[in-house]
Amino acid sequence: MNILNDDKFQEVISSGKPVLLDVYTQWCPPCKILGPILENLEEEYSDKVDFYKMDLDQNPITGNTFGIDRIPTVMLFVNGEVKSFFVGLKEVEDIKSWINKNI
Amino acid sequence: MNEEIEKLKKEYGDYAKENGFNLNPNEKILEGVLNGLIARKENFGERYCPCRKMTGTKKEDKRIICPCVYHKEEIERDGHCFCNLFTR
Repeated sequence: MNILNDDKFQEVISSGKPVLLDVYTQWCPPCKILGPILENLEEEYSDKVDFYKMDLDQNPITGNTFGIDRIPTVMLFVNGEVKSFFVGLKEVEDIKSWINKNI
Repeated sequence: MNEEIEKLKKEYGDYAKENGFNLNPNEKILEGVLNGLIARKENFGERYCPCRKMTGTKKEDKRIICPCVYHKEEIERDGHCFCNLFTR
C-alpha cells in the first residue's frame, strides 16, 4: 500500500478513483493485524480503488480534520468526500462487503 | 523487555481477574498490546493505550492510561476492550 501524508492528502483523495485510507500507528496491535488484510485486498480491487495508509502520529492534520481518536480507522473516499468509515478490526468478507457497498 | 512483558502480564492479569474478565488468550495480540504500552511509557511517560490517539493534554490523556476509562463498557458491549488486551 502506498503511504500518504498530510501534504498530499487532498490531492490524492480528489484524484478520481475511490480511495481507501488505512489510518494506523506503529505500535497499534490491531493495526498490525488489519494491515496485511488490506494489503491482500489491494490487488483484488486494483482497478476500482486506490489503497493508501497513513501513520496518524506523523500526520496530525488529517487526524484532527476527521476527529480520529481510535486506530485503526479505515476511511473510504469517493469524489473527494468520505463516503464511509469503520474503526477497529473487521473480517475480510465484511471489509469486501463494505467496499462493494460504498464504491 | 521480556521481564517487563511478564511483569505487565501479571499486573494486568491480576487486574482482569479481580474485575471478572480475562487477558486476551491470543499471546501474539497480547504481547503486541503490551509492547505498545511499553513503547508509549518510554516515549510519553505513561502507559497510554496504543490504539487511541493522544491529545497531548495531560488531563485528557489520563483517560486513556491503561486500563482506560472505556474498557469495562467495551468488554461488556463487544466482548473485548477496543485494543484487545482484555476479553470477557
